[in-house]
Amino acid sequence: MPKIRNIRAWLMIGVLAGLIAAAVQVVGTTAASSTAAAAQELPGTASPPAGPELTLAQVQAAALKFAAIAHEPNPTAVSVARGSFADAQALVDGNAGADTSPAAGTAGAAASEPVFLVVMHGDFTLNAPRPKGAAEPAGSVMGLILDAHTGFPEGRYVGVEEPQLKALGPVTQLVEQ
Amino acid sequence: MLLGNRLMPFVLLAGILTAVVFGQMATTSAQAATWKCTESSHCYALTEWHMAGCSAECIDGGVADITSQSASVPNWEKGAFVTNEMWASTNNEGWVETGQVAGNGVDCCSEHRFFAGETTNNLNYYEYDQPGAVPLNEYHSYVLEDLKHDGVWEIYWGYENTDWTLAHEYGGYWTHIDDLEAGMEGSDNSQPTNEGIQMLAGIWGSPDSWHPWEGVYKKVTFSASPATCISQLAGSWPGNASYHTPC
Repeated sequence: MPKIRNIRAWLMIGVLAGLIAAAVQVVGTTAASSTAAAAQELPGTASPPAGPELTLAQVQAAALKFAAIAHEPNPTAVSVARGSFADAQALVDGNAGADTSPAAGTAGAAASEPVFLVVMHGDFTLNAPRPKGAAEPAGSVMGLILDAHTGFPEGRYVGVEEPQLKALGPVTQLVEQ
Repeated sequence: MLLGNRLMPFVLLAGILTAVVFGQMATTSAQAATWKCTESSHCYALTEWHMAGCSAECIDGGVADITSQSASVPNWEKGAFVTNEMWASTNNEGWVETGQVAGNGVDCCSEHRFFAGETTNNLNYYEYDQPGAVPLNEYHSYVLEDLKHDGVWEIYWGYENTDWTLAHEYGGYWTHIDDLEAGMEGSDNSQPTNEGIQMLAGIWGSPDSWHPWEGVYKKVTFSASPATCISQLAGSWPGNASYHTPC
């Protein structure tokens, strides 16, 4: 009987040791991740992109790529204007009554960073993040905000309203009607 | 005593294996299934809190602290993506959402903070993706709220619940929400990989403060599409969960 009690005791100790080992592993992983994270630079605080800006041909290629992703391989009346990120976003974000001042919505990107805003027409259905059960965003107008230096697609708009490109700057037509 | 000593290593090993197996069983709702989603029909692993509606219960906002541990999107060039994020809406009239996205026409695996919303008339959608990538295994904080009840939904981004930045404001919306969801969304014709942890809070009260996702009338539920898994974090607020795909 004493031996049985000992085995039971060791079994208890074994299970407890297992649980403690698992807990230490979880806590250790979390703590290590937090420490490593604290030593890194916050995202969005890096220096703004520099170097040459995209050519209009590159802008057009990027625009057509994202139009195709939105199930419209042949958009019409594709136009582009260059301006600041904040001004471009204010033209396409569909706000009503929100603060669209440069400080709002830049999320670490400099509000004055140069971008290209491309406006396209067609039959767009955007494969976009959306709640479970919601329909894919669709519309006859697609707007695309591209970083002027890197071409990164910062903003995507799909809807029925026509962004007033002229308010951003001189407009260049890339694809005819 | 001698027998106990000889058996001790084996008993300890058995104990550890027991703990690991028990832990897996307790925290994973594995689904032996294959990925069945496409770039247009998405898969989700979600914590869902569908409130009783503003006649009984609705709130002022939500908080999600999200840690992405891995992401890989095979068909990223075609616009496929995975997200780790939170959604807010009322009466299914439009929505606002924010979190982290990988894929989406950018590359296979880097995560970018984003916000998106579709207006209440479901006619206009706008999404912003932040150029700078978010490192994996960090926890980033996201808030959707309308504390002024004026229909303008403020989106804040933070880092470990500090360094808050007003990321955006969406106007012309409802003044309260009765539906919060958080978790992963996958859009790809092929099986992507994604793994994350979320810690959640709801915002209400006078003054507004953070509370568990748990109302008087409705509790949180979990849902998982085939080949995705989500499970409650033991000892944590309701809805705090880990999720991943494949299972």
